[in-house]
Amino acid sequence: MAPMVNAAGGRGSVVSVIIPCFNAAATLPECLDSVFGQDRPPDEVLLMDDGSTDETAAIAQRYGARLRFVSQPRQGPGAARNAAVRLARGDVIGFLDADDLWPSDSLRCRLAVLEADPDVAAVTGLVEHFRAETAGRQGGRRLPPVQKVRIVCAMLVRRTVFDRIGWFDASDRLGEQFDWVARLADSGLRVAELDQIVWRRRVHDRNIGTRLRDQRGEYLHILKEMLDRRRALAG
Amino acid sequence: MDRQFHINSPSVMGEDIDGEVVIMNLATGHYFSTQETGRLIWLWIAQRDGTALILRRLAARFEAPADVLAAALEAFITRLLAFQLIVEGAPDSAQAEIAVVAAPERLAFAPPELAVYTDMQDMLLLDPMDDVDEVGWPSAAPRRPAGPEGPNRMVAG
Repeated sequence: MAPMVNAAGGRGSVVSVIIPCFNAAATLPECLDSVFGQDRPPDEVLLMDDGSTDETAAIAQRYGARLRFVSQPRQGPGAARNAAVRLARGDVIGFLDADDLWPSDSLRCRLAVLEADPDVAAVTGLVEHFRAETAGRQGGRRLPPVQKVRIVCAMLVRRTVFDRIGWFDASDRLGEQFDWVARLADSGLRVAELDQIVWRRRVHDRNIGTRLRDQRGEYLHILKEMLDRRRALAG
Repeated sequence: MDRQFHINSPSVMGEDIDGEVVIMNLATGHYFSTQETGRLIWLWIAQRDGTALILRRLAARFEAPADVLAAALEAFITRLLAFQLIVEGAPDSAQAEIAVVAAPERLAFAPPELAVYTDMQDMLLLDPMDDVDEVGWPSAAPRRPAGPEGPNRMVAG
């Protein structure tokens, strides 16, 4: 694989943005526009299509060569993220879901933290929730407008983190990000937190958590695995 | 005085996994763990046993004075209430009819403990919790099976 030259002409980090996607044509253009509209542009944008049957491919085509479009049979968001990380050329990886947005300074501000301190493995910040028209009457009613968050979608991560803590859970259960973040927390790697909005999360009737509300028990199994892992580490 | 509680669903879920009850409160972002005596009490509360019946179950299983068992149960319930994991409901007088069979050999009593964790709060609070009802939730109150020891079968052994 040929080395990439980054947006600064070769100096500093090479940033790959990974957007896993499944039938998100309705929100994808806004998502992609927010990524390409960053005031520090990403060096690679990888749209990892997970078996979409909607207009995703046609939308991707509109963005031309600056968007790397890869499609795979449906395997779930964890498997799609793993496949995309393996393909990514950057040494820094940013994740965004196809229904969400980045504020225009999100990448630059998080990258500045990574580049200033080699001991920082990942950078996160605040999420701002906004309601889509499809959120329904009560959609997201319990969510605070802005909150601190360590979820993958808000993180900019060094590629080497995956060598240290492993891949996303590819079993397609609810909470695969949850499991990965828990492993990151247990690894001892430093995660810096910015006190600014780095991720705008759309609350609507198709959020994974909303669609799979009857599978939330899977969170409990992830928590149990986490407790067992920590006990084993503590000896 | 007999009091009855139930799980504060839908924001609270708990599941018995390999001998440990793991509980999460999606409204506060806290999660919890309880084992042994605490696990038993949680499972009894989940099947809507009142405190009088729970005390009889504890006395049948553990070697300890009644006042020790009552104080431990009250302290544990106070803690569950403080973390909004359970809510009080109307007592079920029919539970007085439920027979509890003493274990052949009662065990030493260890007070119930509830471990509280806050380190995943930001993740748990992200859950949209939209329009959720109790259908499909693992800890939705089970229907009480028929038979004098029916409810206890859930935690037999």
